[in-house]
Amino acid sequence: METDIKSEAFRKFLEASESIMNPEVRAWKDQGRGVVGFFCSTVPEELFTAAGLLPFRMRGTGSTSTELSDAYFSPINCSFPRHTFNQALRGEYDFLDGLVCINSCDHVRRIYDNWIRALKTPFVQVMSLPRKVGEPQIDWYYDELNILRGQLEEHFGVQLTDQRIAEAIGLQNQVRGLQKQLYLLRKADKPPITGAETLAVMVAGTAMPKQRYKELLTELLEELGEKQGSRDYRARLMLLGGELDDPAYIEIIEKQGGLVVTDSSCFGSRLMWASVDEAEPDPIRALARYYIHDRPSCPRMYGLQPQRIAFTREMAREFRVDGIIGERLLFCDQWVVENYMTELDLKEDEIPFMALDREYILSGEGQLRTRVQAFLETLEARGN
Amino acid sequence: MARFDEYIEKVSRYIEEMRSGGARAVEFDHPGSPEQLREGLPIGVGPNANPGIVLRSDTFVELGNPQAGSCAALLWTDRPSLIRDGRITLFGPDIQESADASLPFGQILTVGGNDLGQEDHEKLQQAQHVADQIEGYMVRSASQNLWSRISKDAAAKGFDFETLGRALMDLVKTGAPAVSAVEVLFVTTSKADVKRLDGIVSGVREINREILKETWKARGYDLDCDFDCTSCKDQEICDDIRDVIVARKKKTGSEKDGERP
Amino acid sequence: MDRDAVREKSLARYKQERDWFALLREATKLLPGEEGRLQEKLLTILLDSKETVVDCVENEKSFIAGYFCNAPELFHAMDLPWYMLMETPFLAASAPYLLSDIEGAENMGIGTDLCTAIRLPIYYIENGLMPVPSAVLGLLYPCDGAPMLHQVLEHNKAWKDVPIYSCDPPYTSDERAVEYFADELRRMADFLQKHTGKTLDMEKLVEVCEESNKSYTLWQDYNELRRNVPCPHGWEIGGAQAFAISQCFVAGDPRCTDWFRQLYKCGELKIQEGKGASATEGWKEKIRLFWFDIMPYGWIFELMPWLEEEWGAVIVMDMFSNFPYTLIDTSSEKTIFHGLAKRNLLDAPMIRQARGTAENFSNDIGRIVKDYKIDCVIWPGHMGHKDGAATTGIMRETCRELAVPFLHIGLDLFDRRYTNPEEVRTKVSEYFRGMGLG
Repeated sequence: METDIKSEAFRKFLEASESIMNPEVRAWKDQGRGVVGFFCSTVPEELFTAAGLLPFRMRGTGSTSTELSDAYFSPINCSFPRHTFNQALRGEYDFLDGLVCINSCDHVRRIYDNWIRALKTPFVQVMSLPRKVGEPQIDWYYDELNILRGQLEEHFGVQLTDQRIAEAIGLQNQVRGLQKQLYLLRKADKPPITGAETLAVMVAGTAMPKQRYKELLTELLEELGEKQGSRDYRARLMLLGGELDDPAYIEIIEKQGGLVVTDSSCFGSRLMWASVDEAEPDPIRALARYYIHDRPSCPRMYGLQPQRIAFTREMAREFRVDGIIGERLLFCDQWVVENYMTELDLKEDEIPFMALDREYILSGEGQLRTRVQAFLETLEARGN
Repeated sequence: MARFDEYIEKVSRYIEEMRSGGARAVEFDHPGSPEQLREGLPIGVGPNANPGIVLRSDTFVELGNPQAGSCAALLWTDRPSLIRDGRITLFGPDIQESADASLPFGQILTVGGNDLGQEDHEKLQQAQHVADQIEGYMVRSASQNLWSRISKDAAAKGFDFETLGRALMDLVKTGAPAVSAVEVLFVTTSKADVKRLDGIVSGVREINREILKETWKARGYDLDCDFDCTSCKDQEICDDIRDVIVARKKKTGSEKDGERP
Repeated sequence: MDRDAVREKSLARYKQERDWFALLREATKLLPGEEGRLQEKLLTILLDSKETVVDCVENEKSFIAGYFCNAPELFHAMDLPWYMLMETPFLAASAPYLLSDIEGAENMGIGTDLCTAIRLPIYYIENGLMPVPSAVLGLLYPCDGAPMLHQVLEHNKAWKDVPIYSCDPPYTSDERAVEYFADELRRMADFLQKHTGKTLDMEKLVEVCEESNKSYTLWQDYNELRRNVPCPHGWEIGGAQAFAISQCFVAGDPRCTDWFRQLYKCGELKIQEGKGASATEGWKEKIRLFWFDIMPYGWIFELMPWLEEEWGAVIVMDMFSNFPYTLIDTSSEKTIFHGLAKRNLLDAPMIRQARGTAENFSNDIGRIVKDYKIDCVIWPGHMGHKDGAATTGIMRETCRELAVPFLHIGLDLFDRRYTNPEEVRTKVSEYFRGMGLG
């Protein structure tokens, strides 16, 4: 990635986002400490941190094919689980001491079933995530989190006291706060950081120890506070979508002149726009409420489309967005229908919207460039 | 492996409690090899011994209708000393005295072998679902319960719980040669007794699930079949499957019209 | 589109579909034998349901949109007319307007990789072709498409104010999950009472559940008949109709029980006469199939008769026929809701396989292959079944263990253009030949 950010912190973030194993994880493992992988941002990382483990968000970064995972999945399955599982079959995830899966979507939930049959990761669990967000569902997820807590205690021989969990929540909230600060810098007319660079920072936050990440992010924010951004862009864009963890995708968009100034995505604002309530005396209940109800939702959670579009509108307004791109991975039922509804709503608001389908591993760059250019020209023609 | 030992112990206590509670117990002892178990049985045992189904109109007695009560479990251990090989215990009415009845039915198979391990688990579990291997005895294809029918023809030949017990022991020992001891418990006294037994072994289902999960971890995989046999690198595997199909067909009997070739 | 316009348009379409079924019923009168009478009876019951919905729309009476896995016994006990939002793809896929509906859905730009059974109702909702009910019971499982469909429904202006309740599906299948779902069903019952003006009378619910127990007992009895060699019935009569009548129309109704009683009698008679699925002179059953999905309703006549006549291949069991029912213990409110929860979360076809972890696929295969003497398992590979697609490796492995061939096709059960029937027939033929089947 081309960047004018000079800090060592950013270099480490970039390195973490461009590979699965990175020096921070290696150093952690060298200390004899454990790493637990997880899928989906509804799995509470705080529990792993409280257990003294490194929570690692699973990705298929670096995968070039799916020749191994094709025996398990099918051509109509999303490329994200196929590539991620392929990496696992190739041994890229042999460093994991555990894995927690969740029924986030039809494709990803089957990673659990295939993983337990094909790989020898010692601790593999699957959680049941509700679809709705009411009190009974918070109660259900509260029980699920307590079950996970017990499983972590038993397997890793740790005591997950309320205090330890509360501390981990505090740390994660601090991280969220810093990440939000990073985003707020992009409200400026000349943001000091691009969308691609921001994604690298956010992805790195799911791939290194939290305390270390917090220190590095603080360092980065210091540099960015002094940095002058460029006004050399054609339009300010918002990115809507799901599992996007490759900054190169956004880089292509931005090279055409569309600066991504904000988003609502799995590795983006939805991770940190809200915080866990630290005033709640039961930290598990606080986590349950946060992950089910309080944080900005994705279309996997039922009945919240009005809130999601309101969040999108608010972000678009706050960040003075000229147009919105809704990306989705092919075969994703959740995002294809979400984009359909979003387009209708944004039409009413007269906010330009473009839906883009993609594969998990960057491909069809020429097509992407063409579509983005066409979209930017439309925005310019509107006099934005 | 001692995962089920606790439940084997609990079942033994259940048997003692039933006895001391006044339930009529009948015991048979048939230790021995599969051949010895099969000797003198009034009905056939083995693949395709029961080629047809048992229609409702042909049913002599029904066992384990969910409304009457049903419970089944197989417990195994690598300590065969915990088990009395060949022991069949029956509490409640026998088959011959139950014409046209729908009996509550509890069946517990306790299996032991010094070399039994987790790799035998699935094979043993499947042994409970006898499919077509006991003449005149059909286990209904309902996954949650052990619900079966005994035909009038089989009953007329003398089919009873001693027969069933011996047949089950034969099938378990044949299917899993590492088994050296099998004990069978049948309960047909009342729904309450069967429910109590079910309560005792309900934890076994969770263990079964865990073992299944662990066992799958050890398995390898195959690649897609691309339908073009001449260029397919899996032709050898396909040939193996074909050989298995041919062998299976040979095992299951004649080419008579209407029967499986 | 405003509510009045939707009312008119949707009523016209609903009547069109009703008329299509009336035509089919006339055709069934020409079918020979008791099986033909069963088809006729099923369509009569179906038409009754449709007429009731028409009456409700025309006369502004209460009715709901619901699903087969929303405990239809409850609607029946409350005397609530209902229809299924996915009714057309599931039951009317042979209707002459279906292909143009699919094209209409494509033109909406939703995405051709979304299940056709989801796209079609979205198309109907967005184009005012679905009658707007007093309340909706939504569906959030077994797949991603289902909750998205209902989010579109809530988003649609004509449906915006229609109260909707959806039961939340736990991913696990243990007692805790069943109890949780039972509570969701209780909340659903409260919702229905609040929004439809109907009352749930527990005595009536007991009656309905006990009647449904009888139906399902008979269904299970009938399924046992299909274990016979030869199987007494083929694709034409069996699971699809059993599912429709017990789940979509008259759960817990004596007409349903009566239908199953007759179905059983037909099957038993054929076994006693030694007859197989086809009446064609000299026909023999050669291949016993397990079709592990819904039937390809959109083009069923182009595949199923060919399978039987060309290859002697009989679909002995399929996903929707395999309903390992839970009898409901009607001794208390608690046991009734527990039983309904278990039935609708763990037993309902397709729901039971797709909702939870993959054991639900492999266990079914293991049991059915053994009990029904299956020669080949076919995973049709419907384009909408993404979770099933990600389980093909596990299914294949299960079949290897059982030494039974496993064929994965890849098609759209409703849209014949996805993999056209000729391609499917070729693929099936090549596979059967390659495996030495038939």
